[in-house]
Amino acid sequence: MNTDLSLEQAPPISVPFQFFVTAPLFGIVASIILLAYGPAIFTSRWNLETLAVTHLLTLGFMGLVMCGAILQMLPVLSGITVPYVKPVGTLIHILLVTGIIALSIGFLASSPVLMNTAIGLLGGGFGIFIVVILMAMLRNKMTTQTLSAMRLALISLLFTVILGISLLGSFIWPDININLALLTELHIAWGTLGWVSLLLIGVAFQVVPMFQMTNEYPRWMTRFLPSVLFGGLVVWTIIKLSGIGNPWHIAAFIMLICISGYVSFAIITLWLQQSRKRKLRDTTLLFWRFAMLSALAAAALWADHNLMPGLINPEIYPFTLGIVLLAGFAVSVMNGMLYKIMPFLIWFHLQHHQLSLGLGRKYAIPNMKQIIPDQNARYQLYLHIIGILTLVLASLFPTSWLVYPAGVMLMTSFSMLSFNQLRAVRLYRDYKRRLQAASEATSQTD
Amino acid sequence: METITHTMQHDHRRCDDLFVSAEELIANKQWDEGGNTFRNFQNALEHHFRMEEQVLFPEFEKQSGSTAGPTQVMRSEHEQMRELVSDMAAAVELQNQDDYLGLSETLLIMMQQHNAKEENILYPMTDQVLAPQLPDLLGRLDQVD
Ligand code: HEM
Repeated sequence: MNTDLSLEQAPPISVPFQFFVTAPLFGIVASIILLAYGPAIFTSRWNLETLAVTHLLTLGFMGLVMCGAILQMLPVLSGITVPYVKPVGTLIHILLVTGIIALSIGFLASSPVLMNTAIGLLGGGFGIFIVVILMAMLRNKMTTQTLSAMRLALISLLFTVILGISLLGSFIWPDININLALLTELHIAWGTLGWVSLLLIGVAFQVVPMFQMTNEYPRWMTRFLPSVLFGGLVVWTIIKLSGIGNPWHIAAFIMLICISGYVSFAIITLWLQQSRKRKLRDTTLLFWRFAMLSALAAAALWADHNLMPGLINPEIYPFTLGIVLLAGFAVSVMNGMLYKIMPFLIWFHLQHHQLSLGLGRKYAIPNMKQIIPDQNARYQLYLHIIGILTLVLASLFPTSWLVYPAGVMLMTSFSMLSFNQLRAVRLYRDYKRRLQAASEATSQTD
Repeated sequence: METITHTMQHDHRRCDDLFVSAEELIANKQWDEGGNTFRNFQNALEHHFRMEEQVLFPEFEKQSGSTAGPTQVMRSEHEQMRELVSDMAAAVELQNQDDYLGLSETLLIMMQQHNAKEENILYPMTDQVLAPQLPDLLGRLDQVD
């Protein structure tokens, strides 16, 4: 076994932070488009505006946060560093950001040129990301449950991107003959249930016990759940593609098994957090709870639509489900996690800097709650929750004006997140400069 | 079979428990009991660091022939935690609740990510590299005061 693994808190802080800081900007843009189109957004899920909003959230907010978090967490979890992480991370970030912009404008303007550009940029950005991370993982024999879930999430991302690019290709060259409805269903399933959910589950295995000091997740869950879900998605895909078993609803049955797996994850997470040792109720915990309740609500919507058709209007269902699953579940977990990861990394790097400059304890490095005050995070949480609940209502009453207050609240919520982040980054820069100056001053007087 | 991973993991949990009790008492402004529990936590943590810095890390470094590897990073993180803990001690003296809770939040994450690295990577590695002298080593860990 090699003993020269690095246990550094690698990579440099700018690598994850460039992803984290740009992410909410796409949330702001998504809310603005929502406001601009108003209730018209709900007329058809295939509206190009709807697709723009969807991908501003899934790629813009969620994708960037997840890529940044993986680049940050991988070395900490596995001891393996990504080679040339700074230039590689920056390149990935630039490709993804420009790709997301090209894709959204491409959708809004219905522009084949921009869609084509988006294919190149996003394909390149995600391609490099997936190769770099999987290669780093292959060099490492050590495996934790979080790492194996992360690996499955990356493979799911690969499928999602390939399917997404094929779909986009069929927009650009309409004579390509593909089964649009089928490929879209696969794309959505691999994107949300594969990439997003498997990653969040894997990360939860590590951070839920850590941050709230709960018991560990049950062993059967950490060992088997990610592979069962991934395997379920593979079988489901094969059945869907081959068309066998259609008469017996086998695909729906497999999906039911998968959904039960996600439900058990959400319930166990809520239960672990309920019986946590650390009783303080912090904002991140509340984000997690709202996210898990949203996951359960999404499963209930799915069950209602598929098992007891007729209760919920099938025209409305995809919107409500999308809002609950993407904004309610995925965005909430990530938003909450940012409030732990960012202040921690800022504190860590500043204190490390001070110690390594030999400054002793000349400056009191601000602690996490001074870097992002809990009040600020708390207000944003409330706005986020009310905004999403209003948007759900708006989707249920699609012709009403409710989409406007929902859009305003979500726009404000993403802006507050951004403000909290930028304030923290400015504080980091100020202190870093002061430490640097102090170190130069002492070395001159020596 | 008893392993380093298991022994040390167990000791992490002991520190965790004291940490949580101290934080909760201080969050409720029970300064007397909170202060005592905090000092117990501080002692438990120092004792844990000593087990590593006096026994485990030197043995590991002897085997790997280098003091610049993972153990050096772990030592430097111990220093970072010591700084936090001494600031927390000051906050207990001054009964400054905001400072204490902000620092303890920071220490919690610092401690947990540090423990995760040790439990996932360093201890299992130590168990393998130092397998032959395991019983002796566990005995010496036991004797650290
Ligand atoms: C390179 C990246 C991607 C590209 C090029 C892409 C492209 C597309 C296209 C063209 C559609 C429309 C399909 C149709 O009209 O039938 C679509 C739908 C969708 N995509 Fe993606 N996608 C990408 C990544 C993702 C990711 C990572 C997610 C993650 C969750 C995602 C979630 C969705 C959802 C939920 C829909 C359905 C939208 C609706 O029903 O209105 N996509 N995607």
